[in-house]
Amino acid sequence: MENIIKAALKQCEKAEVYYRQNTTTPVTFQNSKLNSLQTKGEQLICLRVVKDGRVGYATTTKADDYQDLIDNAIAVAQFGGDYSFDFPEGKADLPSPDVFDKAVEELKVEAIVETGQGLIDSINAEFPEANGFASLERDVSQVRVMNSEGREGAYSKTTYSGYFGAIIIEGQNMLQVYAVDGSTHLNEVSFEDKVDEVLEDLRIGQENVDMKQGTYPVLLTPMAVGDLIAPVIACVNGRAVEKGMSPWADKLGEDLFSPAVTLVDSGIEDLGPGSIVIDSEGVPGQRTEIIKEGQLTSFIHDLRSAAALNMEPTGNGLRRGTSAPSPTGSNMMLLPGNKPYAELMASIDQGLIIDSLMGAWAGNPYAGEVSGNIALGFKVEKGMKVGRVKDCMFSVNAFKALRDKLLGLSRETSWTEIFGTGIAKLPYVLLDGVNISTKS
Amino acid sequence: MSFNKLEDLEAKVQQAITQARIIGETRKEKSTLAPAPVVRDEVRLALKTDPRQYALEEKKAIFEEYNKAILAYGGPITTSSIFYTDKFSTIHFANSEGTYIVQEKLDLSGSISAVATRDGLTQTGRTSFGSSDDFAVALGLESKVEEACQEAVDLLSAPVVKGGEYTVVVDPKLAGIFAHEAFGHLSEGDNVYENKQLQEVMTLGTRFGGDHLTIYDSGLDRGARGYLKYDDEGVATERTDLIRDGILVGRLHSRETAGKMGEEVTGNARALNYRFAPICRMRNTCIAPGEATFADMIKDIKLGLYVLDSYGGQTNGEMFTFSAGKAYMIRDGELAELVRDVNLTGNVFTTLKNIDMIGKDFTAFEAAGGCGKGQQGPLPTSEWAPHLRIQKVVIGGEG
Repeated sequence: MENIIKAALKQCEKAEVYYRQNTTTPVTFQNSKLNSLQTKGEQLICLRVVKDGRVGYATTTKADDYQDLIDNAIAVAQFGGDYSFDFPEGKADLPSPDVFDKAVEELKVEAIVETGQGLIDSINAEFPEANGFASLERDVSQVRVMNSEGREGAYSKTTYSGYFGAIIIEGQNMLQVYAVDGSTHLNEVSFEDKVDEVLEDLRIGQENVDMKQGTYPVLLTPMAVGDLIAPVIACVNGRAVEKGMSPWADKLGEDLFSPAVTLVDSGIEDLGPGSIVIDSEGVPGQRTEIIKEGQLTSFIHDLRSAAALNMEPTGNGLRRGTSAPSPTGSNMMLLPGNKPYAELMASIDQGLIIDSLMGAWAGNPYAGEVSGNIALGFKVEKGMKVGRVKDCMFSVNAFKALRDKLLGLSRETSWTEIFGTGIAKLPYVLLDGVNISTKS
Repeated sequence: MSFNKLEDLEAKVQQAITQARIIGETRKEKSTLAPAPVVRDEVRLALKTDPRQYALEEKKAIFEEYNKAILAYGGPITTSSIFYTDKFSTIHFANSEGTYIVQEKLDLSGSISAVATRDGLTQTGRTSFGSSDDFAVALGLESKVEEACQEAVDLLSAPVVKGGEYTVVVDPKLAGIFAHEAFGHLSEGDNVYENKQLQEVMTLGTRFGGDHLTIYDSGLDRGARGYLKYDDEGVATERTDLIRDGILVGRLHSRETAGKMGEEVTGNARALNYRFAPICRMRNTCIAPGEATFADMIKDIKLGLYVLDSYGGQTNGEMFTFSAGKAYMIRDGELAELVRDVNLTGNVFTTLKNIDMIGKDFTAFEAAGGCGKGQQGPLPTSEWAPHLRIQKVVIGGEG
């Protein structure tokens, strides 16, 4: 990496190199059988240069042949954005979240296969006709960041994560239930502990019940809370604020939500699958309170958005795949409440519990509109799940719901991945007066 | 097994063998690959307008003009977002049966969005394009850019749609995405081949819609982003009919799924890139044209919706959902006011039967984005269709 920077500096003013190497071993099961085993090894080198005051960016997967990489970065610099920010300078104190577990690194693929088969066998023991599926994945990665201004940092991370569940098909009725888990450490992951939830939903989900169109109290599981919180995360993104797409550019310090809402982005969580020691631009990982007791207190930034808004970077300049860094959450955490979720559910006289929504990501996040088909949800009567609700649409305005309709957050939280948004740790959330549309 | 450090070749081959052994020990039955002709071929690009004729600077200038037009539009238009990408690849495929194919591909696409903001509300208007052989689709979009600006502005004052059940007319863009999401995925062989219950649902010969309904998936349409001469198992693509005259007649296979089900290969095994194994994927999924005109479709609708374009959709096999780009109310047989935040949902099987009119205006529409499945996305696909009228579609929102 030093060599790339040295060579690049012969042709440009400043340079930054990001190196990532990872080995992923996904194991998948389909139709209750082992479906595939793979190992994917990849190295990636990303180079950002400043040439004549403009930023150029290129990537390669070849470690030894870096002249092409430098030439490409220099070539696109003439069309690149202005160098409107500063690469961080000098040594920095880096956090040291506990994100590497030798037990994950040494986890044998045979053991992953055995875990997956065990999960599916325990579902098939009660439901022989169910088509079990699972996708379990071990990932080991090394990241190194270095720039021409003397900043550098490196870390290694392991993750073991995945999902498992089953589909039961009867005629044209399909019931799909699944559970997710994941951590940086092997001991923290227990798919087995989630088997009972899956079995219970398969039992209750066999019976479809009617739901009339109307407004109801709705308990969202952490997975569904991801859809509710995604528009909030989109609106605190420094890039969206800078470009005027977020409605909150001038709302810092204002009470936007119920005091029960505290949203934190933390790159420095021990065992956090999204933790980072240093971001892709050399800014140390940090903990940022975005919403504190309902009040908007910060956005999340990369170097560019922070500079544009005259704010401090927050260590959120992260790369997705081979893309240039942009403000991206590390571990987004909606802090828990104090009630067990069972108590929240017991408080529902006539309502729903929604486990997963489908297509809710496809709306207009900046307007806060969340509307999705209830992929898996149950009617709740007097605090008990009584049957599955289908062919219904859940619609709320997330901003209004988190301000005016929030009845409670659970004590329990789960790690989940929000589609298109990233990793989050979320509680169950009980909302009042949610619109449910259905066939008449 | 995939890797990009060639010096690891020996070790990776060993690892692949070990993995195959583990699978072999765990699974009782053998995988059978359906036979496919041995092919030796070189597929070179045949481009109408080659994007490489345009220097990076010229491309930038083209999109900068669109950008200027958006920012100069004024009023509540606050920002823009323009994205363009072109990708050339040369794919070498070899197998131990003797097939060796070198295939060049181009995939280009882009989207141009205008963003309007007023009183804390943000709305977007958009135009999008894509092609596998013609950069010209990115040129001359001035009037579409202006429409996108107007759309964003108009949506700011549009009311949120009232939730409930409606008769819906969908434009060709959304109809195509419906075919892809609602039926294409269900037709993918890997969903069906080891699943007895789903095989019963998807028994060839079962009726899924009226006589007027034909849905097919084709790799043969030059210029479409889903155009593909050979799939990633070296199998020549074709037009594969899924539903013909309302009856299920086919599905989308890889060699493994076709082999297992005793059916013919269709050329639908695709991999996002070398890092992924080929799995059953769509190419250009189409609804064949019918006989209705747009006027026929709306004239007897008392209260309904005309829904255009889509920001995305999803399916879980039995249910689907889409978010619309924009929608107009239909009142007493006429188009009425614009409404916003329209999300449609329904049951796949009942909705296919509820398609009661199919337009004669089959439209070849190409857009940015692509299809995602099992972490492999976005994969370039296309969806071509006419207008459709569908009874009893559930729309989200306040009642």
